Amino acid sequence: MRASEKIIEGLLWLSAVITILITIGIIWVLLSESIGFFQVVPLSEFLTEKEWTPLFADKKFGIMPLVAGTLLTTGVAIAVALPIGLTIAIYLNEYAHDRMRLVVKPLLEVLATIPTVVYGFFALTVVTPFLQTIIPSLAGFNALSAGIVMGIMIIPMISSLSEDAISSVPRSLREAAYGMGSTRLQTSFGVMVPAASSGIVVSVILAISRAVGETMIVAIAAGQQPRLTLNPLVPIETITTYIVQVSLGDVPRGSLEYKTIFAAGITLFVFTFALNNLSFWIKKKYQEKYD
Amino acid sequence: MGKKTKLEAIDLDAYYGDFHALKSINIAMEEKAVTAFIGPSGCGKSTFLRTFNRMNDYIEGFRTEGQILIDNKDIYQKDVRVDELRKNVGMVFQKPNPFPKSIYENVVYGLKIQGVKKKSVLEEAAETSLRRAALWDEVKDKLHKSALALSGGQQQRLCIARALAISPSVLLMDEPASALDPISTAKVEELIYELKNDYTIVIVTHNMQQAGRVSDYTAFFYMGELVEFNKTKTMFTSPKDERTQNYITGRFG
Repeated sequence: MRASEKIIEGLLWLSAVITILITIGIIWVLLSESIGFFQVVPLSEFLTEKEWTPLFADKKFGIMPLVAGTLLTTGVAIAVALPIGLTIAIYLNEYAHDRMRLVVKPLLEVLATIPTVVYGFFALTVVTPFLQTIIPSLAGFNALSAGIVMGIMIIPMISSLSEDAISSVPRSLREAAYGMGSTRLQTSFGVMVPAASSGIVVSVILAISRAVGETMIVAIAAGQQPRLTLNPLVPIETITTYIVQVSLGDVPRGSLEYKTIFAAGITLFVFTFALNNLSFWIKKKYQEKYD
Repeated sequence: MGKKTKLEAIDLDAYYGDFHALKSINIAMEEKAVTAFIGPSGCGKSTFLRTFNRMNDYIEGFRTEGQILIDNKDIYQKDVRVDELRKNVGMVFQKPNPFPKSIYENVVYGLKIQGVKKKSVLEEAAETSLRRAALWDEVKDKLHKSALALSGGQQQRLCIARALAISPSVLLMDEPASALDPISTAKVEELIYELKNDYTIVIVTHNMQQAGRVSDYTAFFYMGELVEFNKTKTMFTSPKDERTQNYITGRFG
């Protein structure tokens, strides 16, 4: 082999290794800093304590309020994004003409390119006041608007990936359904969606993973009050917003308060890591169904 | 002859955009008989088959002129509901295409979308259809297993059972045995022979011997035209048109 080939190969290898090393480095920092935290606060307290007040005089270290806040906003987001995203995917696939699809799909993807800070302000200054006209008891900062707007943000993720999944179902199945006298609706929901279900599930899991990690929208619109509740009408705090709050504040480096963000970070990491692996596993398990 | 006409085309032209795929076809097919469509690839035989259940409707730019009659009713009239039409005109495709569901769910699919819910009715229909398709003995112990685990030949018979379950009166078969091994092919052919007692069957095939074995009538298509249509025996022993003669003796196609 020529020397130049060797060098190129070496460079490619190096870039692959660097990516892996950076990932390992991040995990290492997360682990080592949070070990310091868990030496002071036992894991059992971290998981069972019902309050999270590391910055108060009376410190309590229960992660559950932050987890609840995260699950709540994510839940609202998925409740918005799944039906809308799936409907769009089915519409594009079964009903829309080719030209329509060529216009709509890129337009939808624009939704994903809007900066999240814009979404956050949209939630705070448009969605919340609007919702307050319907639900007067809604607080100025709340999980509901943040969740709804987050849902809008992840619609293209679900619609685009689900559309890919549905359109990769063999044409012969669609013909079989039509040949049996199915209407378009029956074909979509009875045959195409179930046949594409693994791809759709993967799209939803990736969307959840995105929602769990989303920071800016919730930081702006959901308030920053850790609260163990599933009521979407009151201010809450998510894991990500807590990390932002502490990172920006004047917490001394190396203190226990400082280490809480790594404990929160590793919790978040466990969530998204598990979700991504789940989607990878589902994809792999069901991929070859038609081959 | 003397039997009733079931399917009929009158001055039928079909176009894919600018391409003239079928040229003024006139044909009348007998009830409860097997008619085979033969001809080289691209001659329009599949297109023609698919006009009888309007399967071409989904292809952009496809249109027809003239009439297609089933039981003397023009199925291209505006008031015809395509989904209703297809409950009467079943179809079996070239490649077996069972749904990724259980064997049982495949067979009762058509009844379920018609709103039949009663389990006893569905179960009985499943058994009857699978028996008719000569598949019952092979699958009766694994009805709730995935249909995709069956062999190609079994899958194709399952697709036939699925089509029969909604009691159509016409069965369109688009090269139903072309993806199967010889033994499965023989089974499907035997089945077609049985089924013609109750159904009007139209089968597209590339296989001359198959047309000879299973069909009562044969239509030869060439370049979008119906060249010759006659009793299969007559057609194969004394074709009138030179092009038919050349094709069935294997000189082209």
